[in-house]
Amino acid sequence: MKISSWQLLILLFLSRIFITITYFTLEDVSPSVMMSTTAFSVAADMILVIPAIILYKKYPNENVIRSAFEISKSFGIVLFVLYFIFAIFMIFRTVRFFLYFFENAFLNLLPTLVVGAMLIAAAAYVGHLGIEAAARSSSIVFVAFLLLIIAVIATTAEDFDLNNYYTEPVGTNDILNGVVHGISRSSEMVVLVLLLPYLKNGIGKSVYGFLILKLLFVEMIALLCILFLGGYMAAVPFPFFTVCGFAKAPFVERLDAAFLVVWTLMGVIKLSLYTISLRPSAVLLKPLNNNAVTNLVPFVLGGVPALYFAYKEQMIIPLLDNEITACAVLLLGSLVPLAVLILRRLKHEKN
Amino acid sequence: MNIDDKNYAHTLLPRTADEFKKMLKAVAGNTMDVNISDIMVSGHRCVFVASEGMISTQALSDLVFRPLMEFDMGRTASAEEIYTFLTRQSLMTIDRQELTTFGEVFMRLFSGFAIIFIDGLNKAISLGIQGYDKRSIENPSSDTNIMGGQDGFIEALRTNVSLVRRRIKSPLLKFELMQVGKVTKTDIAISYISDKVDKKVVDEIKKRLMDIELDTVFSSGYLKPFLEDKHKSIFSSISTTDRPDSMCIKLNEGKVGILIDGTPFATILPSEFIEEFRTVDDYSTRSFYTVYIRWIKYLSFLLAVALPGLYVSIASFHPGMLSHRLLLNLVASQESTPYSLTTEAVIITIMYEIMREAGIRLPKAVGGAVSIVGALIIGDAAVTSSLISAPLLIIIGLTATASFVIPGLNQQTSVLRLVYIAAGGLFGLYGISILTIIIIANTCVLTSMTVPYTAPLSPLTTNRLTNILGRPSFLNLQKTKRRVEDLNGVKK
Repeated sequence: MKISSWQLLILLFLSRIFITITYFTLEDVSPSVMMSTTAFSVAADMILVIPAIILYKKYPNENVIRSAFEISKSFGIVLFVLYFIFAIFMIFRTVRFFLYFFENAFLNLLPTLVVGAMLIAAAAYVGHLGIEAAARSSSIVFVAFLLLIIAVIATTAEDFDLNNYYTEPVGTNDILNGVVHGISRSSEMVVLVLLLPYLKNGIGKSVYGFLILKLLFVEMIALLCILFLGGYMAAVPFPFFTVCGFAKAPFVERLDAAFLVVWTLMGVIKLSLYTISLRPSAVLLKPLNNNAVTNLVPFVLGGVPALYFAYKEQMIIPLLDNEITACAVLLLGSLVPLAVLILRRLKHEKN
Repeated sequence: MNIDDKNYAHTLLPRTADEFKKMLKAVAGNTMDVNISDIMVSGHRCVFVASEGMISTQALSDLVFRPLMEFDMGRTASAEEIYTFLTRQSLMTIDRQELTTFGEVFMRLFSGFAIIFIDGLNKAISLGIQGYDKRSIENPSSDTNIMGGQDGFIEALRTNVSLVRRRIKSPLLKFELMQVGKVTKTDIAISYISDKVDKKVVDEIKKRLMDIELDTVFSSGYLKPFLEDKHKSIFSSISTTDRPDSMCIKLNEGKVGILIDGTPFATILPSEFIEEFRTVDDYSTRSFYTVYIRWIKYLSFLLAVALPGLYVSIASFHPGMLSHRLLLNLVASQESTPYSLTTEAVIITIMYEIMREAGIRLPKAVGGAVSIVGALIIGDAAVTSSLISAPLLIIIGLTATASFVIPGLNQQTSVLRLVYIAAGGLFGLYGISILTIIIIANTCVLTSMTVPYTAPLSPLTTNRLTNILGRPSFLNLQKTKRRVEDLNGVKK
């Protein structure tokens, strides 16, 4: 089962942009600072993905865990456990994020537990079908996302206020914060180093295409929210959703329900990626080499606590968007692949 | 030699006519449709065997009996001389074959061949003089069109083969005959154009067909589960058509067609989702009109599947999406009905399905009456008595009409419509979204013979996108070589 570079690009993009359309705020910075730090964050990503690219070029049918197994079995197992925990954490974080948003954006529409259980079940099903199903589905979801963006821009453009955009000098601290903030939202860097064996060819096209597309759309969504909401952007918790709520089309009074549809599709794709990415390395380990086990265990371990916290209405905000996540992404997405490359080279030279 | 219905297939023919008849009767028993007669040809004893109703009596008398009776060597002919006459010196029929086992004898016998056994030789000759009654060639029943050919497949395999051959006169068009079904021994013809098809696909299809151990095969539905890949999907990566021209178009794309004796439908594989929206008429009309109709069909599919579900979910969970005037109208119409919108939608959808099924199964004359009863009496009465709201009836009517536009996906649209109503009614647009991603993934996982069902959209094959947006021009068609294997996402 292999996917094309375009399919990988779209998978990573949807996974990343899901975070942006869910929760994206001005906080305490000016629009220009926010937009320029986003660019710096993508530039940092471009450097951080280099180990993954080298890993693919040297060992195209292996991901970071399989490569670690080639160095030593125990090292492989340790890495598998680390990535497994990361997947569980990300599933927890994504489900909880999803439910938090759902509770607040779509007040009392459905019981939280039902929403969460449906999301997890759908993601587990897509994960069970495997990478090809997820990749092909993502192309269709991508088209839906594009249509949503076009519809929102077309229906809100007349209310844009260019005065909402103003510039301020960008300080070193701003850049640093922006980069850390950006990395903490880039769990796709970790997913990428696990998905490498699925890629047919064109790693550069996938990765840099993904980063360019990400930069383009994150900046576009940011600009859209800034021009439409202005100062209110810092006050509303979900700016893009709010813009969709105000968007009025000829047949539809507001586009927030359309947002719900696209956002849910993207959420399912994002969640399924975490278990799909574990599969190429899980085949090396019993009893995880069973497809159902690899697929269900992370959803049970990550999803059930998320449902519990959602039920108890505990948000655990710091856990969702902080330096710890950034460190985990940095470590598992860049440093570990780099270490594996070096160790493998050393082992090769020793032999 | 002992022969019975278990070992007859590989039992060799005996040398004497008496033993041949005895063994033949031992297997066939006292079945009334096998006629066995002794005849003398130039003084030599032969046994003539035929299945009643399967051969043409005219052809039998003109092509077989008359030449045999006129064959006179002036002395008792030897077995070899008669054999040479039958196989090399006479022009009885083109389709003749030497048979050496009882398996071959029964296979040919029940396919409408006459069998002549010559006493003294341990082989028989089969002569193709089939003449069983068959339906005449008529308009295709399920895939009608305006500008294309008006002849459709019938139940007779050889007639269907000729319908395809008449349209593709190239020697590269091949028909490979084989039998499936342990009891029925149904003839099937695997057809392909040898320089267009991927030979590995043909070999794989043949292998899968040979592995079938079903007792009976009566239609394409019996073969589909064995030809499909392992993933279970609500859609099928194998399509059927009752149009020879449609089959020819698909064969030219490198696909493989399977004609089954006894069914007027050809099975085509691999198949793509987008194919269901293509018709032969697309290539007979102006391209702008084809584009227009193609998009009407896409819209119809979406309406047929999701419109009632969307209506129920938006009206029940997201009324803010609707304009105030529309909302007021809906509320007013809903106020007078006793059931919830979801219940109403489910009831009326099931009622529609009952009437549709009744209309299909009943004789045509009565089927029309069912439509009148359904549409005029029940529908009108339900609205007048305020059991069903008028807007919902309009929605279901529109949905039903839309589903007729894509008859090939009728099974899927019927079931999905009800599932969408349930999802939308219970969970709103969130339920619709979750159901949609499940259906998308379930469809996307489908692959047939390395070709993804959702190609060329996903995986994206850019040079085939014209097939989605409209249709490629004939100028384009003559320049490019279009093969189905190019859709598997692998760049060559």
